[in-house]
Formats: sequence, structure tokens, C-alpha cells
Amino acid sequence: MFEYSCTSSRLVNWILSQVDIKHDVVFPKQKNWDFYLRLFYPGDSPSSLFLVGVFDQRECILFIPVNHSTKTEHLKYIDSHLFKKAFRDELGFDGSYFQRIFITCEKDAQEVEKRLLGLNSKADLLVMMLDKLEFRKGGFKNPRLEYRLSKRGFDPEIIPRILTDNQIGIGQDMTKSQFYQTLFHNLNRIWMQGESSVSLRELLKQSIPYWTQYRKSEHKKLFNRIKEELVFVFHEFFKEKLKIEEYCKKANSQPKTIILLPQKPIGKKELNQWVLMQKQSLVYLRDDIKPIAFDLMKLPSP
Amino acid sequence: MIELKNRIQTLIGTNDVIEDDYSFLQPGGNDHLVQFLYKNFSDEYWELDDWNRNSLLVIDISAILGLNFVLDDDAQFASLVVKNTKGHKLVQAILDLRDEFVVIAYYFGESKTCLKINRKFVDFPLLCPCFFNSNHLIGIARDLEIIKQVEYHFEQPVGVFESPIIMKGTFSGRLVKDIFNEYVDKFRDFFNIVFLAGHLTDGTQGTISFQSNGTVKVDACRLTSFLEIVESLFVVLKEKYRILVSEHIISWESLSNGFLKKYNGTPIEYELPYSIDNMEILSRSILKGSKTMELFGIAEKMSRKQWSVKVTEVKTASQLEIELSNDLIRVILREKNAIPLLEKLESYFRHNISAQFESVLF
Repeated sequence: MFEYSCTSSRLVNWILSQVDIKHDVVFPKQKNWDFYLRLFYPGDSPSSLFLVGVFDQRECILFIPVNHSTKTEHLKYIDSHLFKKAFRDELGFDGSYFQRIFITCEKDAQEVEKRLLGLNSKADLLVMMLDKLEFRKGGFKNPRLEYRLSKRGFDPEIIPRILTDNQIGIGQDMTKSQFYQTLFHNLNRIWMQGESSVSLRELLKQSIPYWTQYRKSEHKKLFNRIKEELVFVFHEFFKEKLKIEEYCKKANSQPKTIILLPQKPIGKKELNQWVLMQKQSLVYLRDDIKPIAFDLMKLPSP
Repeated sequence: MIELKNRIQTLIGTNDVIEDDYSFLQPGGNDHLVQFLYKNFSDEYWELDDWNRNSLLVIDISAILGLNFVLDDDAQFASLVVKNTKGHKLVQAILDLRDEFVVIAYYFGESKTCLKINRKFVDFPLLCPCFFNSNHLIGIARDLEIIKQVEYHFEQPVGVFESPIIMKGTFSGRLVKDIFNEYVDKFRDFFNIVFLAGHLTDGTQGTISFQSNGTVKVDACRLTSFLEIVESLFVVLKEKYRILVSEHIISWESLSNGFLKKYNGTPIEYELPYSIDNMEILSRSILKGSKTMELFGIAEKMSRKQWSVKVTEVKTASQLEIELSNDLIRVILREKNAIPLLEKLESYFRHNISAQFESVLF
């Protein structure tokens, strides 16, 4: 039987879509539910994980999206009292109900469950399937949440895409072209505003909301990877109409990587050409090169 | 509206209070026009207090449109006074600037002149025309004594639907009200009203007409009943903008020294009354835009059931993200200044996908 598989960002986007002003959600804002999102590194892990804290005055639930590649020792770290205390303090939460829930997709559920059982973990495990979300281990402490979850219509394929992925794996290159679609979208605005250049770092900040949460050293890795890909597609598909250059404000100042933009278009023809070049680039980025591993980035552990 | 009424009468009308409710609104001729406009101000505008903001607007109107409006002492209204051929001063237009989101522009005098000035405002980037949807106009039609004419326009694009529906035309004459009610009952999803005209119940027999691009026109009417009907539309529009701004603009914020992120706002969701058959063709069709909405951007398939279309408006550089699935269209709005583009997009969808396409339901 087909087992549903998805990226961490889809799990995160589902959680975020459930903290809403709409009435048919698990955590209605009208009932004072709110959330926060961050990246973190479990223990000494080189891979970042998302963490979504959903809370009201009495209750706080930490959702941690995991998959088959999350190591047992990292699950152990998340399961520890230290982890719980760190995030409780960070959020300043002093209510009585505090719950940790691992969330994963159906394909990875068995593996994650096996590891959690091996750890004698008290944390709960929520699994996203093609037609429903179901607790494989434990459940919400609050029965109202359990009831809302069971009543909520669900289709993982149409979850809103507020957030792009931080763990783009092999075989999931579609999400990679979504990242570049967002990047080109932001570039389009800058171009139409008549700017002649934009800092690549600034563009990435606009395209990845949690960009500032990466460590400085790791920014460089990701930055260079994207830069390398952009240099190629600008040369190959934009015929040098877009260029990446190193710019120094003064002779001895730190160079800044900027994208040089052509003049604002004056006609439909130029616009169509531009869109065509972006489309060709996306097809290339989707199909021809290995995915960007955002998960190589490190974050300060709590 | 009482304050506005007093202001209009002080500027252009009779001061005879007794005659007020029996007099027709015809101070400068027989044609009157109202246009609802959304305040599409830049951040620099919003940093100012009300007085300075409105003063700056009047300066910009003068500099860009060449219309010399004069701001009242309290900076809540601005008026345009012109001299006619006989050298008499006539009040040509009054802008009601009091609301946070909507400017109501009143034009007086000959129809041609009113329309000419209004065209300038409609193209003015700081004030964008508001749109009435079919439900607004159906509500208004209930208050009319006689419906004289209705124009409707709906045309599903070929390829997006396996059996596209076209429903466009005009009806006028004795049976308009009956047909109108029947269409509302039976074809609401396709009955996209773009023009409505009729008589008010105040006995004046003047014709009042409404266009879906936010215009109300009247040839003879009691000031009181005219303002009543304008107010009913104004209330709906300002509530719509309040909800869009307070609940639907997605903006990220940082907490706890940048380690925690959260966003405010929620995507706008439109549940469709029937399924879209081909999302790829719809994506292309959106990117093509329309006469009033020149767009460009990229469409990408996100999953088996979802397409993402990210659009930029050529004229304003405003942006929207649209997620298409068979029975649901979602729009992600990330800036206040994209609201005029959202309105154009909604109007486009009302013409092509469902006449019931509305971001904020009342």
C-alpha cells in the first residue's frame, strides 16, 4: 500500500495552518491560541530541525517534525528534561500543561516509532497520512484538541505554503524549485521598482523568513551554494542580463555580493522574455542539479 | 454622513433646514457622481498625523493631477472650486478624507466634467477605485423602487472548465425586477452584476446607477436618500478593508532576540461552488492578466492537487501569491499596498471563475 511521504515544511505548514482565526481549526486564535517557530540543533547534530510551539495561557505544545534520518541520540536529546526546560524558559511559559509531540509522515512513522520505543520516550507521535492525521503514540492531553483534530477535514496536498523547506532531500526537487520561485518573485518586485541592483544576502533574507536564525559560518555555506547556482542560471538562461558581482563601497571595505539588474522593461516583449528565462531556470534547477541542503545549517542550541 | 451632508450644504447647497429633505441634490447642475477610493498610501504617508497626511495628499493631487483642491481647516474634507463661463464659482468636487481606508469623492455638475475628473482619480496611484461585488449590488437592488437596467458579465475561460459557462447581457424594461430576482435565485454563482440602475423610493424619479468599479451616479435625488445609499456601501467597504488589514496581511515578526519567529495574518481562502478542471490553464490565464491588471510572474506545480502562481503587477510592482486547487483558491497577501491588486484579481475571478468570489463575506 502507498505510504504518504512529505517534507518537514509541509508538517510545519500544517501546524501553522491550524493556529488560525477560522473556527474549524485545532487551535483557534479566538480561544487565545498562538504559536512561535524556530530552528534548532538537537545536541551536537549538524542538521537543523524545526520547532513549533503552540500555546495558550494554560497549555503549551511543542511540535517537532522528524523523519527517518533523525538520529536516535537527537530524539533522546529532544526527549530530555533539559530540552523541555530550555524551551519552557525561552517562551516564558509557566502554565501547567506542557507536551512534546513528534510529528512525521506515514512513510517514516514506523522507523521513528521504533526508535522512540527503544528510548522509552514519553513524547507523543503524530503521523500525517494521505487522508488523516493520527496519533501513533499517545495523544493530546486536552480532549478538546483531540476532538477538533478528529473533526477537521484534511488534505495534505492543499496545505498553505507559508514556509519554504529547510530540509530539501533527494527526490523532493519540486520543493527546491519552489524556493527559487519565491526568490525570483522577490527579484521581480525589486526589478519593477526600478532598482539597478540588490544585495544577494538581502534577497535571501526576504525569501527565507528564518534566515537570521542560521549561524554566521553556516550562512556562508548556503550563500555560496545559492550564489553558485544563480551564477550558472544567469549565464545560461538570462544571457548575462542578470549578473552577480562583488561590490566594494570603498577600496578597503568588505565586498558585498550584488545582483545587477537590467533596466525596468518598457514593453510586453521584454517581460515575456524575462518570464521565459525564469521558467527555463526553474526547470533546470528542478531537474538538473542536486538539491540545496538547508539542513546543513547550524543553529545555536538552546 | 450628517457631517458630510452639512459640509456639502455649507459649501454648495441651501442653508434652509426646513427645505432640506424636500430639496433635490442639484447644486451645480443635475448630475452627481460618487466614487469610492481606497487609500493606497505609502509608509511615508502613514508616518504623518491626519492633518499632515491629508495636506500632503492635496499637494500630490495638485502636483500630479493638476487639480487644486483646498483642504478645510480641520483637514477632514477637501474641495475643488472652479469658475464657470459666467465667472461664478462652482463647487466641482468634495473629497471626504475622514476614514482610515476609504476616500469618498463627490462630484457635482455636468456628467461629462464629473467623469473627466474621476478618470484622473481612478488612474492616480495613491487612490485606487474600490470594487462592488454582486452581493453588494443585490443588497442595493432591494432598496430600489424600480430596477431599470442590469448588466451582467461572466465568462469562464475555455480549457479551465470542461464545459465553460458564459452568462452575459443586459436587461431593461418592465420585467427587470422579476428576471433579476429569478437570476439571483437560480444563477447566483454566474450572475456577475457590473451595472445596476433604478429609481429610489424618495419620489424624485431620478435615476441612480451603480458600477462594479465603485461608482455611483445620480441625476436627481434627495440629498438625504442619496447619502443613505452611499453610506450603506461605505460601511461594507470600510469593514472589508478593516478585516483585510487586521486579519489577512501575513507579516513575520521576531521575538526573543530573533530566535523565535511568528507571523500575523492568515491566507484568504475562497471555496469554489464547483471544481476547476484544469489548474495549469487557469495559472496561465491569471498570468496573462487583463486590460486593467497587467501582470507577470511564474506558475509552479506544488503537488498533485495544487499550483502556485506568484504575480507582480507591472504598473505598481505590487505582488500576490495565489494557490490554486480544484475547489479552493487561496491568496497570500503580504503588504497593505497589494490590496488594490487583490481587488482587481477578485474582480477578474468574479468575471471568470465564480460570481461569488469574495475575500470577506458579510
